[in-house]
Amino acid sequence: MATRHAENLDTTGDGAAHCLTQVCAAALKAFAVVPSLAERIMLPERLVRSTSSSVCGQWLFGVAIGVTGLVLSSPAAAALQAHHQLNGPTCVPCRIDVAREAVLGDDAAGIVGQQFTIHRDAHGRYLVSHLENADEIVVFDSRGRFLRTVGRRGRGPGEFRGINWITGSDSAVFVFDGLNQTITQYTSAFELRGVSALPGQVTGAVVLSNHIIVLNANIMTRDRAGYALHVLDDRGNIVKSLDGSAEGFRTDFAYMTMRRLARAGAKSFWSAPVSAYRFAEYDVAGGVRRDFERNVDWFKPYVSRGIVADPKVPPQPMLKDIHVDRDGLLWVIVNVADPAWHKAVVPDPIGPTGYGWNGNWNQFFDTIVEVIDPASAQVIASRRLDQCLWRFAGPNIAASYKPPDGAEIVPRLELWRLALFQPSTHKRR
Amino acid sequence: MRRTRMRFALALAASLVAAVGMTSREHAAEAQTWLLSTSFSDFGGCVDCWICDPGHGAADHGDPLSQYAEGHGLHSCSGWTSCFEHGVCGGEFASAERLNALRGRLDDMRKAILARDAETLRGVLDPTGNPRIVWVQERAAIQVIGCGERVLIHLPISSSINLGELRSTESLQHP
Repeated sequence: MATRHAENLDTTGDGAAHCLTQVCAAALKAFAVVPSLAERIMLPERLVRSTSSSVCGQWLFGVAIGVTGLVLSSPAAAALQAHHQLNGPTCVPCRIDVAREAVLGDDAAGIVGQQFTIHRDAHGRYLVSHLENADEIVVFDSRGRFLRTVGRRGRGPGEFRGINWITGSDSAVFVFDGLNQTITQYTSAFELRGVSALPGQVTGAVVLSNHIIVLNANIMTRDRAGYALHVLDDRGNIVKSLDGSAEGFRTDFAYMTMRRLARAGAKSFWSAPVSAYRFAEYDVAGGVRRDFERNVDWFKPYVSRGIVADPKVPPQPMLKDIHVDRDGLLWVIVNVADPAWHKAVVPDPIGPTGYGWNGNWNQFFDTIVEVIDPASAQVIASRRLDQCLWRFAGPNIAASYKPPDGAEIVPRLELWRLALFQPSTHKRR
Repeated sequence: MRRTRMRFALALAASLVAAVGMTSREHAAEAQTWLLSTSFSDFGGCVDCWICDPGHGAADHGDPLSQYAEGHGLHSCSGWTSCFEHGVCGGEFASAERLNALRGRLDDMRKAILARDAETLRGVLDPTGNPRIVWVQERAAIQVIGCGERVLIHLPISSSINLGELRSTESLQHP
């Protein structure tokens, strides 16, 4: 997995390069090096770009030749190659049970909509915001009853214009506003703690501890552009950016930097791209601890500018979200084309292709839910659902959007509890 | 310092592993192929929004799964309507002629990178344009920068291109 990292102020690389240059200058006197061979060393980006450090690279290669065999056979090399192909499903009697947990939405203050963000807080309440009403947070209790709203339209503290993500910890709620370009922090009682600036569009966030938040965001600044992941400190400052693609970044490829995130531990997290079935565990220092890939016919990696409404082109699969349960199992939800997907594509004279969607994503997509044991690199169970699950709302709870229909006059968010049934003989020890 | 040494040791080990199968030049060329192989001729949709201000998404009929629309606020501007039509561009950008000119320029850039043609690349750079096309030495990349200093495109440049001819166009320290 090609990844690059940017420290805050981007100085660490300079320091290392300078240091190496000094060392290499002396070392070059002792080593005869074939320059063209140095190209075979893939040094970190900043070193490769530096003329002086390319000299260093030559020296390093000279040294490397002597130790290559040693390194390749060492445990360190094995760790660096911790890439796993996922197999399965391996547990035949295991199954994924799905039960409706709650329904959110009413025709008054608790109205919900599609393209939503949702977070289940430590009290079991659901905090929701959606595209059509992105200037407030709508709060429901664990049964789906409307409780209150938080925030109002504006640019001041506690005011929003374009909420695009909500997440939280046991004691705090974090609200990301892409229009105001802010992070607003509340206590769990919705007392305003503070607001900080964030120059980007957040497409995912996970709280690792009270002091560390990891974002998936397009930070469109010159020093951060192209990095998919950003680590924030407790004051909202970006202390590190990582997962920078060697390919670069184009805004017309919407999925390039989009990632799905899940907490793995106090200093580590899972990250998955949306257009390939793979994921990796990162530590906050930027290292990839292990990564996994699943090779299945129904989800081949692809490059795309986004989903297009075209009655002749079925939608590509999309990895919608990941979640780690209390047993350390990783849950994955993938949207795949519904067998009757074309029924959701309708003429739309103002759409770029002349077509649009009828708003019923459940007709456009099915969902494949899978449970993975990272320890054994096995897919334990898999199940296809007719609903289009949008994302995880909380522990083992996923949300889908239900548009108004003949029976319902307002949109709803349906919450589904996902549970793994494992016969005792198949449980992990 | 210890962390730096550790990082370096890991980087070296990773480099050695990778070096067995592929040269850095081959790797860079391969890595950029899929991104650079796609023309900018369709670069548009939201581009005028991006070039103006991504915070000013305006239309009501955009792609609901575009990067600005999937629960990210009022950014669904990828339909026919645009920021320009809604008057939020402040006249800075978005005429069809300028958009087409930009597309052509970006395609020239793309082809020059693929061809490792530093001379053409130098001609594509436009540090005073809207958007600006600049070489950012610290990132070893060409960046296309819209209004609000937002980076629309970031393309690392293979070390096989003669970087000396591109240096000092833009600096993070001295924008």
